Amino acid sequence: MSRQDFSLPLCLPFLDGVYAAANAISDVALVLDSPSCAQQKAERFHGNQDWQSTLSSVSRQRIFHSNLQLNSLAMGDESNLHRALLRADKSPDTSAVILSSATMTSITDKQFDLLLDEFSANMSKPVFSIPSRNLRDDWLDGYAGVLNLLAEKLPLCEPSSDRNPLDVAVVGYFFERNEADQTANVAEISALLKQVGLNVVSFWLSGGNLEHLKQAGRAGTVVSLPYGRKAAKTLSERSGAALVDVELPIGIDATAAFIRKVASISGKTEMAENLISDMESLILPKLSWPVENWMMNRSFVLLADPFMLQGLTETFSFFGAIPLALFCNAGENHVNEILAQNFPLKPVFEPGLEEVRATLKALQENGAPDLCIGESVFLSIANQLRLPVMEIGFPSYFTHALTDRPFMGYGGVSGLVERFANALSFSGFVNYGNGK
Amino acid sequence: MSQVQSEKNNFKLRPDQGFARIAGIVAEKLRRESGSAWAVKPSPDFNGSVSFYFDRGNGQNIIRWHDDGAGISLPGICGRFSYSEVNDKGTESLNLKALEAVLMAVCRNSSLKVLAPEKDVISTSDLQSVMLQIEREWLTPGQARWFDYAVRDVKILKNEISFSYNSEFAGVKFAITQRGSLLAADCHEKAFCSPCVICERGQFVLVKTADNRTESYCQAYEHQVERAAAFVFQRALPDDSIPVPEDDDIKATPADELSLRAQTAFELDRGRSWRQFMADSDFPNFFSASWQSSGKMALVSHSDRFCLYMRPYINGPLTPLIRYPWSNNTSPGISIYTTDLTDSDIINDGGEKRLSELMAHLETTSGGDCPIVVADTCIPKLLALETGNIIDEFKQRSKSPVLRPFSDAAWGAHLDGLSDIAAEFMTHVEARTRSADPSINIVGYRNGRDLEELSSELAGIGIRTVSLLLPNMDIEHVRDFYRAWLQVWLPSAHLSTVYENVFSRLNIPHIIPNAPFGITASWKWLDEIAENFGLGNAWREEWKKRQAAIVQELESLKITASRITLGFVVDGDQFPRIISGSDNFGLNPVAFLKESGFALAVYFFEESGDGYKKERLRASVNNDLTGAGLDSDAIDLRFFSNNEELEALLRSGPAVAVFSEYTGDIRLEKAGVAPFSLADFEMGFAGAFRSIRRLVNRCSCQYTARLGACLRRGNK
Repeated sequence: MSRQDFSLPLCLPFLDGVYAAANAISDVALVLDSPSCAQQKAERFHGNQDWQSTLSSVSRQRIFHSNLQLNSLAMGDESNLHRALLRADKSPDTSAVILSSATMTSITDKQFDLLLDEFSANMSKPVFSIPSRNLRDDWLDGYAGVLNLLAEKLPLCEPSSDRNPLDVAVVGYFFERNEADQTANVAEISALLKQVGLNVVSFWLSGGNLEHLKQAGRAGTVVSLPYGRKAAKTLSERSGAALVDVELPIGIDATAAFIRKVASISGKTEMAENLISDMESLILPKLSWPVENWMMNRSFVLLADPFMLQGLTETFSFFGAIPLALFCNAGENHVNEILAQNFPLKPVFEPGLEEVRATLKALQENGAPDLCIGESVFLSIANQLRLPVMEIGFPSYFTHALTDRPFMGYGGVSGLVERFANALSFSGFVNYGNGK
Repeated sequence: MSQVQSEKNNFKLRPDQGFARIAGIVAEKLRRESGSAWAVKPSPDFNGSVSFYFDRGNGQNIIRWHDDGAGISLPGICGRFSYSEVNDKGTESLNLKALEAVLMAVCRNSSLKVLAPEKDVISTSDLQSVMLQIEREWLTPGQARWFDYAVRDVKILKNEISFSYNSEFAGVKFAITQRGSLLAADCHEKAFCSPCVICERGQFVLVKTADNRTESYCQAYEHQVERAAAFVFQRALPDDSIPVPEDDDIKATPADELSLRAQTAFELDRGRSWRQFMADSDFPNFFSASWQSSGKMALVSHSDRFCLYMRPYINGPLTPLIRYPWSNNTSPGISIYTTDLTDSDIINDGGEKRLSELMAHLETTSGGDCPIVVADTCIPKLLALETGNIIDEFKQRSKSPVLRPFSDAAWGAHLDGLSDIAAEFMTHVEARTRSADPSINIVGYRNGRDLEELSSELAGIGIRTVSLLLPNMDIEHVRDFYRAWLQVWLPSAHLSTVYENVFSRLNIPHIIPNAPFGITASWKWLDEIAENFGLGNAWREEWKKRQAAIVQELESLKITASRITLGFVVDGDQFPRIISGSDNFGLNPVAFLKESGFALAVYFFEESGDGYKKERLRASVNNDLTGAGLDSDAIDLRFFSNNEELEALLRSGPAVAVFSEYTGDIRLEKAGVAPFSLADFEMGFAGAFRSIRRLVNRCSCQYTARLGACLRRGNK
């Protein structure tokens, strides 16, 4: 549906998801059949979204582009693309190439597979092609597309003996950057699995290399997360592993649900219940002060992808905070019926910047919201309106993690309460200093 | 006469894909614009072969595109399909030139202008292919296996080049005669421009000639011709007859600069990236894209989301990969609007409805006379979506100035359109009464604390700053431009075109004083401006009052700075950059740093390692230093010939900080030396002191050396 305010749509395009996936696999080169502005997009990741990115730095370049021009596209001149592929092929410390493209190539339906047949003869590394398909595919499509491509094409390791259902591959995690919030989430999820007797052999994606991803072939069970459902299914069909769908373990109840579901793989349901009980007993008492003073009856507006949106809303609501408006920075097509029913408010999908601004202004006139939570562009609107902000989600340009800051699992429950309370508390301090 | 022999190529295009899709869109557009005569007719043969027609309905001039699935019949590396024209003479093959014209005409004008096949004139694209091959051979001699050719005949006239040669490229053999008269002497209408794919430096321009032919060339074409000629002649002559330039050791030829300086350290496999610390290839793009508005502005992006989100439009500080001299973040005053094109928009009407609606929306929401900048992007350009009428109509009924700086641009040109942007803005200069006071417009200077301080200095002696333009593009500053008596331009090679095309045509005299980096330069800058208004004595009186304090502070800082050596890594063609301001946005690094008391080291690439050559280079460097008004012993010159030697110099040489315009430069991190860049320098007296302190602090920071030690131990 076309937006009628014509302002910046808060939904990143397909290629951002492809970049994110390439950023999350340490040894792939990304080749873009694109004008030179592909390099500008790399800047958004390297050093802004991700302080630990290795996508695009001096002497460590993993992004290459064809400097696509109107003439060359019209004339079918692929020499620049060929050259970019060869450069990527020669790039040290990479073991495969992902080829993607700007959307204008989808208009001409350039035949990348045929081109690769021609070009790959003098390349030493495998090339996985994921061209843009239509103008409205979004970043979640791009990310999921790369995962599914790898699930289809990546050579997999075979188990040394019979496939063990307790060896699991986690597929479909959105590893948005190589920082300690994401690595801590991966550690939290892996720990939960381990505590119910499961052994993680591969985690898609988690900042590791392709060799780590190939280990998924050894898994007896594929644990499917929402950012790569199709890839998980493909992988399970390819390897013969069992498939178990789970939701993101964000918040107390979602984490408990996650544990119960994965415990069904190992059959350790009693152990799971004990774990849930023990962890809640450990975590919840520590949260009473911040919950009472900084979360209870505090209102918030949230913008995130559909899966984070659900998890974060449930988490903050669990502690007494009240959602006033929900925005989703992705297409509604990513939301199934069950997920849609779980939102306490109907989210606005792919909102325009002016629509968000108008909503915040209207709420502000009534003295709310207390906190705006979400990704950077959304928060830049809130910031202009002098509203308190808490940055989380993709992209996060202004909040980084050098030490473990999970927002999933039980560690994530404490982490989210801490961030929510700190944001409000500090905002109160700033306003106090400004005489408000 | 072009002769082509090619091997078979089995590339196949499915009829439901690729150009068929474009053809459908174009045909629909033609049908709507010119009645019902135009139609696209897919070939009934879907078995690996596709033909389709643009049929004007009268049996004449039917253009047929077809891929017979079996061969290429076009010269060079561009050929992938065969093309033929069915006309009253029967079926004739189109050459590349005609095809290009068809495509361009369709894409740009939506009115098909078919050129008669000109069999005796080779297409410029062919020539570019040759140039591209020569370029490759020139830059990467190791790739000779890719192609081989024997030139039979070369004629170079002033505006014309012709070649005959046999060639093989990627396994395709062909013989070809190239002849072209390609300079813009007969340019009738500039059609569009984009970065040249050959030299990656100049503008690639497509022009329509007075006789309605379409030609294309690179603005740097003259260099290309010279280089091609030089190269071909060198290849044709016996080695011992190749003339060796006697005094070319330091300065590269202009042609060399085009290619060599255009390399970036991000490009691993290209010749000199390992020793590239200056981002010459990135600065022009950045500078052209970095225009900002201190006032309000609406930016209309007629685009899909891919183009829209190439830059992060966000009101917040982001960190670029290149250490630019100033921020390139989105200005807070800019509101972004977009047509946010979808596939159905394009199929339905090419997005025209969305653009019309957007402009109508702006009419009711933008308010006042906030300038509106309309930018076409890749998809509209590709599909020849006609937007001119919509914008023209809007212009007539809108109070806001409407600017279309990119209307003639092709892909990537939105990074290179500074001259166009400035020209569009400056059409809004208003005839206003000159100020009664001495007053100036400052052009090309970054806006910041240092410039404010300089403006304040000028105000202290009675000179008012009226407008500040480039990179600032505030419409109010534009409107006020004629209030001032004098323009003060920043000396900058990057801005020479925009000065020439735009600001020199405004009826206000200009001066180009050396930029005020450093105490001496700041004094001279203020003095020169003051003298233009007969206020030199007033400035010198003011200086007398403050001189002692400024000199004392400088001398104090020099004591610390003198214990520090700063370094530059250069090739011969880069050396001039560090002793001249025009390539550094006004900063002359060596002059500033010497005045500030720093010791300087230059690590100079000399490939052969030959002692005699090094001595000659040393003498040339000394000459250049003397020529620039610097002591010949101003720098500690060291040579390196390979990466290992450079690494050793970085690690153990005298410099504790080295100039690098690349953020996170791992080469310096590993060596344990600090980076510094143009971003560390400020103008004016106080700015000079802040700059010195900033550099001293960089060199004193313990983290740098400790990080280097860790990285060398392999701890990262």
